[in-house]
Amino acid sequence: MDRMISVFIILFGGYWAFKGWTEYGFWIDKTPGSGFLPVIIGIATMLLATLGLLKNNPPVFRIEKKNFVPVIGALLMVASISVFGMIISILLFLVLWLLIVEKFTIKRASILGLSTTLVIYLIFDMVLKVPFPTGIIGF
Amino acid sequence: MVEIFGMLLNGFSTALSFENILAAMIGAAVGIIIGAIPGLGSVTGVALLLPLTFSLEPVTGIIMLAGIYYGGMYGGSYSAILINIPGDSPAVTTALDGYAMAKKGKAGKALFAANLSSFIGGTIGIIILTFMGPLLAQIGLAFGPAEIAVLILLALCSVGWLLGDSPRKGIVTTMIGILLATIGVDLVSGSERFTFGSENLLSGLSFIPLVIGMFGFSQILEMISEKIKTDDIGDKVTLKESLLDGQELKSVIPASIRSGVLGNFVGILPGAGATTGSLLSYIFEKRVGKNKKEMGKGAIEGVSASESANNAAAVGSFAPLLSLGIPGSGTSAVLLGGLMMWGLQPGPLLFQQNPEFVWGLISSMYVGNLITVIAAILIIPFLMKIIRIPTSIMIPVITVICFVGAYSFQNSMFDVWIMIATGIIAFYLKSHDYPIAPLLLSFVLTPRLEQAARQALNLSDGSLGIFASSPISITLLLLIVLFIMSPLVMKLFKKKQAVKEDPIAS
Repeated sequence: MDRMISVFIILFGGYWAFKGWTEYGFWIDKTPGSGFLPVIIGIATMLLATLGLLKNNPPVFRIEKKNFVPVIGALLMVASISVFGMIISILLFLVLWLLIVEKFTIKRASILGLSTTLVIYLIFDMVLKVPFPTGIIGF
Repeated sequence: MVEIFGMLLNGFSTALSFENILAAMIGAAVGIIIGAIPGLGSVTGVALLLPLTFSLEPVTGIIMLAGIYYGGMYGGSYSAILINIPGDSPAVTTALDGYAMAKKGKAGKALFAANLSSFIGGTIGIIILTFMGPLLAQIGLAFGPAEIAVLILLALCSVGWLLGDSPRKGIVTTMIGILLATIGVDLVSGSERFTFGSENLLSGLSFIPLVIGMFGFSQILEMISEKIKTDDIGDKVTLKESLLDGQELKSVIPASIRSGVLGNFVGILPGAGATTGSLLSYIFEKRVGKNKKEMGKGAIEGVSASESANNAAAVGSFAPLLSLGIPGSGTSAVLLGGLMMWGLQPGPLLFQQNPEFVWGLISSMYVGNLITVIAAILIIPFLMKIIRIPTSIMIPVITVICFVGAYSFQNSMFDVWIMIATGIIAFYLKSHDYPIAPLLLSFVLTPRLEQAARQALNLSDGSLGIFASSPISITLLLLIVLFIMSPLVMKLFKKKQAVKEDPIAS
């Protein structure tokens, strides 16, 4: 994985340097162009990341499938906003997480989910006036 | 000098208003709680709560965020002492002696010493900031574009990552931050760069979703596989049994003063931060302290050195931030982003153009530090409960806060996507020991670096000589060389030491 990360960084730096040189211009009329910084830093990033290919260090902590459960939860929350709106989606996320992932009882999950959602609603919607997106069911 | 006292008194009239005292109290309480929760640190706290402060007046908002920052330093010691898990990285050295003291039944004394030392360190830091801030700003007024560019380069060569295990990885993340900061419209030429045709990227990657993703969401992904056991926390710590006797105070106060001064000096260095401050002060105390043999085995001086230094360093990082616009740590990089969003440009002119803001903030630190130490001591029993909140509840709750915080910045779902994507990227980088704070530091500083460097090159008709044309920039360049060489020198030094200790093996 360490080498894979280095490869991604090389590609990232390379893309920035390439676009900087070919599209934005490195040096125009005796002065640096928009591509000046991307080219210099892009090339330097590639060179340093290439050094990383020499070693394949083990991770400092193990990456498991369960690490990505919050990502799936967040993506499901994004997907459900168009139907349920943001506040209901947050409530559903919290209750379902506590029920399914943490194996809480339905009573405990509901109390925690409802109280957290209420606090978020009060702070963001009522106090800070953030216009939360609503879904097709109107919330 | 008289002028500084006058400004400070004016600042107190701002700091002592009802809303600013309330902001300092809320910031202190939130900071202590976030700092005490294992796995969350001041940078995560400030990142998550930054969107909440945008509806406040800038000075009130920054007072609250500063409170969270130094409150986090106080709180970090609780879990370090009680469960041997530092709430935040600056408290790593606190755990060495603090937990050993707790195991000997002296948890209360360790907590009291930590709070008292945090207060002493913080006060030293604030006093030095009061005099150093205007002085640095005065020096900063002499800076032209070339000097500013070199100064920012110096900040990017942060001591923090140079002293880390892998300086190469620190440099790589610094560069990734620079590249990400070039997304959007180029401020000098007005042309679009790396927007991939997206209108959402025209003004660049949004700072708040990026910070929440990199520090908040990535932390959640990490926490899920490290569920922390909090069962072995002692039942009760009473205030009475926590009080220190005369002998203990004689040990705590000198160690706190020494470490406060050293920690503050480290905090003022660009990019060094509280972790480096507490580490160096701990090592220093181990060399010069009266009780050096007991250090690491439950010496109260160890707790004091670490806690005094990390508070002094946290306050110290405000000096380069306010007077030069250079953050001294990851957390102050987030604060810099916040200040820019309020339309303020930290730098030498801030002291001249917004004195009520700067002095209001500095004066509020005196008040806030006092509020924080009182709160930290009084809420010990409550904090014992907070530390017990299981990660199983914290994970979904913080996920929702990340989600709503990213959305509320511009009321845009695009920012939520940015938060998720940057969270995953930061998680992978952290899993392979790539530090994230340098990325944030460079992301915040790059627009100024690019503008200053290109302005300087325009002035010199493209001659690089302009970057070494004044005594200031030559000094700064020499410091950069010194910083870059330091890991190599340290490696050689360690090798030499190893040879000395074990000549046969080598």
